[in-house]
Amino acid sequence: MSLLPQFLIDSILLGGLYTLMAIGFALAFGVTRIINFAHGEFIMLGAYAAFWLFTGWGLDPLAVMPAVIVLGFACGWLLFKAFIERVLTAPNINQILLTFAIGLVIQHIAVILWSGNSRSTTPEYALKALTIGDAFIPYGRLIGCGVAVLLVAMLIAWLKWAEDGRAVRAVAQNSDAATLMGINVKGIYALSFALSSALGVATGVVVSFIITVTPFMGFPMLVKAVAIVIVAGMGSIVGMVVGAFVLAFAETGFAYYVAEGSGWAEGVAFVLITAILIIRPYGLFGDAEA
Amino acid sequence: MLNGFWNLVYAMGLGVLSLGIGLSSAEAQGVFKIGAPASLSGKYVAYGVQAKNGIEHALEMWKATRGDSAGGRKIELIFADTQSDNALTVSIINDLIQTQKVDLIIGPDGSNVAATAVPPWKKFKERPIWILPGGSSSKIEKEVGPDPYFFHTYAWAYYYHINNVDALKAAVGTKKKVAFVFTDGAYGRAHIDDARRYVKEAGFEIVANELVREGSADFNSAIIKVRATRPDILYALMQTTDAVQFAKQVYTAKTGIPYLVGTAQAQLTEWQQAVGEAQNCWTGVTTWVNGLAYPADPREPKLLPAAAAWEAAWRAKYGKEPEFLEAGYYVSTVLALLAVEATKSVDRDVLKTWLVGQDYKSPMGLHSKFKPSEITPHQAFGEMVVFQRVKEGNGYVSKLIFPKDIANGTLQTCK
Repeated sequence: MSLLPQFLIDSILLGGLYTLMAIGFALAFGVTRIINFAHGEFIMLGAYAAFWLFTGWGLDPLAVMPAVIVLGFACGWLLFKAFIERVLTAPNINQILLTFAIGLVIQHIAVILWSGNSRSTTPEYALKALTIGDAFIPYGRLIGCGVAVLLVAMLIAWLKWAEDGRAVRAVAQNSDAATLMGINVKGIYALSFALSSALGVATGVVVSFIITVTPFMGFPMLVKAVAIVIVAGMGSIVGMVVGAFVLAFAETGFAYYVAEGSGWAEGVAFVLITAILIIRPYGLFGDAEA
Repeated sequence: MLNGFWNLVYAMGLGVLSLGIGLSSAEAQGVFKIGAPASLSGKYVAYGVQAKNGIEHALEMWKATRGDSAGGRKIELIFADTQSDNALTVSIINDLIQTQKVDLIIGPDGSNVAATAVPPWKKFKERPIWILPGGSSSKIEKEVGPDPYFFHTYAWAYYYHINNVDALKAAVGTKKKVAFVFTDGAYGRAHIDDARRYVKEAGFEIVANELVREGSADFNSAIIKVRATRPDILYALMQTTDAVQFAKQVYTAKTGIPYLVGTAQAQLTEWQQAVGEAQNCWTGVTTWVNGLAYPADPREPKLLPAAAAWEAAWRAKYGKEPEFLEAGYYVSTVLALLAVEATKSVDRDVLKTWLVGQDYKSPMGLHSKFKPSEITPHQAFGEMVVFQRVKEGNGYVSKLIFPKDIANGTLQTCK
């Protein structure tokens, strides 16, 4: 039995999942230049929202996604106004410590409210797969990949054609020039951060039926997001998607074709980060001046 | 200035005197101090809450049947929150022994936290009796060594595999192929060597050993590689968080593997709820599972009732099924109280001698008799039950498949 078809399927589906994990993080980082260490916790909150709505009211995670996105947007905007705005011009270490602390607080509140128990949503499609010969495509991951494609397409379209989207790009490229052009830079920062949070909770909704939901699930996903942004470089959504797929193919390939590779596959992310930081510190698609 | 100095000396003198009076009074009354370190917050909070429930329920039952004291001594229970933190656990054990001067320690929960409690407990020459109703890692057993004051009331990791292998042997014979999937974390590594050893010694053929990363976002590669070896038995060694995702991925992959063998996770309500339909057919191994038919102890039928009666009382009180740690902490606390009641002493050697000599029936097993394990001299409740999650009506239930004398089902193949 050849492993190749399943390897390709798993790599593509994991790439979709990684794209979801990184997309929001990359947006906030690309525009505000703040590394949001609480991004993983927003994913976690999205996952819990989906879980409670699923178990409490029997609502399908995909059906509640729009509402959760709106809520995530509002929370992200409030978080920016309450905390992040105050450290925009502060040294990087202050920004990192602040977002890290926010992440820890959210995580601990989640433990207090919902305990450390492992949870998961189990809509029917999460446990089904399309079988093609020896290979199979799990619907849950396929949907995750589909949501990633949809969100990335919407984000690209918004950045390209919407006025606010173009303003976001302008601020990301040169905030001083954007200010001179009359763009409300702080407003754009708030918008980007809120959108980033909305994308984070959307990711959470999807992963609620793919991986295990716990208050501690955010950090490993943050690590993946950071790896992808480092591999891809800043300033390119397409580059970020490519980065996510590079990571997914590398990890899955390692897991499939190296003895005991599943155990070491995640180390691939760190090897990639190290290699990119040495060879091309601005990433595969990044601009050296960014 | 001088006046102020003498006032201070006077006040200190009074303080010391009143402290002395306080101590004498406490000694005269007699107190049995139980130290209960538990993860009441942090990552292992679910275990800590179960530990607390088990101890509190035991004390309530004791008070209802025997009153507020044990052996004429007032019972004082000191819970200390480890916050699921190893460093804090060390301080807590130091505090319980050195400052609180507890007579006996029950807990802490979970292998990781319990392992860190060993060095601080062992460093005290006059260390109190330590009853550990959780923590299966062989690392704890090795670190504790043949210590006479350590009483383990849960199964060591290798007991899981001895019982699992015996159950498989009895149900399907040994001419079967076994594939292992284990995580690279503490749990998987603590279990894999023993699991391989007992499976191999029993005569099964091991066809795959797949290492997976703890917390991985995808276990498919391991599942596909295992499926390619066409095993009869998939033997998974991982903690609950990974076991949730793994079970769902195994189910989705439709591997066609006839038997799915797990360890502790299948008994946990959190795992069962999280995986839904994917729990079908998984076996688990435990010291406690709902539906056990152990009889009451004839000497202590109220404190150690029949398993079914104890389970019913638990449901009535907490509105949920008891978990294995709750049963373990309950029985361990009752044993400690009975020891003090019978001996009217809190001297560790007196308590040790009494505990070693007893054999009660309990909701958690037919024998509370402490026997030597591979390393430690006092091990009870190592006899485990193997069960399988099977569909019944609209939900799933645990059918006991081993040992045969208490079984209420037979091992089913996965469809």
